[in-house]
Amino acid sequence: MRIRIGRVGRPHGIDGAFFVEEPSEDERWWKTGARFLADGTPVEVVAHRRSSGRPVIRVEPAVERGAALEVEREQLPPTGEDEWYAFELVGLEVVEESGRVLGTVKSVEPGVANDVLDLGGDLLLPMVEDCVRQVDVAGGRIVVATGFAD
Amino acid sequence: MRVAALYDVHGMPWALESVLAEVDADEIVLGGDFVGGPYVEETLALVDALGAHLIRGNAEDADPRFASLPLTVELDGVVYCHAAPTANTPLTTAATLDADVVELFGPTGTFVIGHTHHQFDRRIGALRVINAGSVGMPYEGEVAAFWTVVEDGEPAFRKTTFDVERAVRELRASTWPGAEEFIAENLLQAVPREAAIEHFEARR
Repeated sequence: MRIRIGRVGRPHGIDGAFFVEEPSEDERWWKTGARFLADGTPVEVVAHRRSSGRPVIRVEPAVERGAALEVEREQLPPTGEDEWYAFELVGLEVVEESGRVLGTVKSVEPGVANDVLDLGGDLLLPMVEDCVRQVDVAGGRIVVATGFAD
Repeated sequence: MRVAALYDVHGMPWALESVLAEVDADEIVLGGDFVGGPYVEETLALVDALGAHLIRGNAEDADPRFASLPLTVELDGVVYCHAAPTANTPLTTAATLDADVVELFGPTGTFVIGHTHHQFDRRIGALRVINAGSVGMPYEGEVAAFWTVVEDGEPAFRKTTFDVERAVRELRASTWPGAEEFIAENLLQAVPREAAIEHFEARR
């Protein structure tokens, strides 16, 4: 299983470096020496910096704009207590504290402020403490505060 | 510290892009209402790249993507908020009575707001309320992007022209349902400042 950690964005400078779009918050991928896949091809980060708060990297071999940057599931460090990866939430049942079942997570969409659980059918729930009260990956469900789905 | 206060972009990436080309600041504050307009996703892509301080305006209230945004950001002793420190909907204009402004903001402090889309600098005793203007939907009698640089608590009002013809062309080619109305009201003509003040004061 491959997990997406970003996408090749617009060029930065003239040396082949590029902005990483939708970058993983795990900064170790955006450091010189990191290795991952770009559209399935193994690449290595050979230079890194930041611009406008976002990672800018150069990789070898060079890659095309728009290429998906991915890692194998096994490359990800284990999560701590009360931590999880976004992809682990997909498919979990979402239940209100009242017991009402709202559906299942179709995707986790990144936002400029906070991520959003997309349950399909225009039902979006903010990934904030006021809304998401409990995430039980092993138990297959997420408990959310009542009122956010109305 | 130089802070660029960019408020009320209202989904107008053409205006925001032009402003960003001129911004020379240590920090950028996006003062709310960056959505609520024609090209929201394109605007958000620009916003995402900025690493700016984001404030929740009333246009962001109903969108779960912005639920974690604060109502205020404080930089260098200046409070940045969309309309007021405790709510993002009160209306304050260049003509609002002094007593009403003090009641809303308190007797002291410097606040940078937006929401009513026209620039002003109100000093009432020890209180100072600055409206940064609107990048994407200004009510200033002129089609341009209006914003403010705040340096050591002192505002410098800025105005940036942008490619209006391109914005009109691309908006007309878009599927956004409100395109023609938006073009007619905001790009082919400008809402006069006095008309906006009268409009808002009547609704206070």
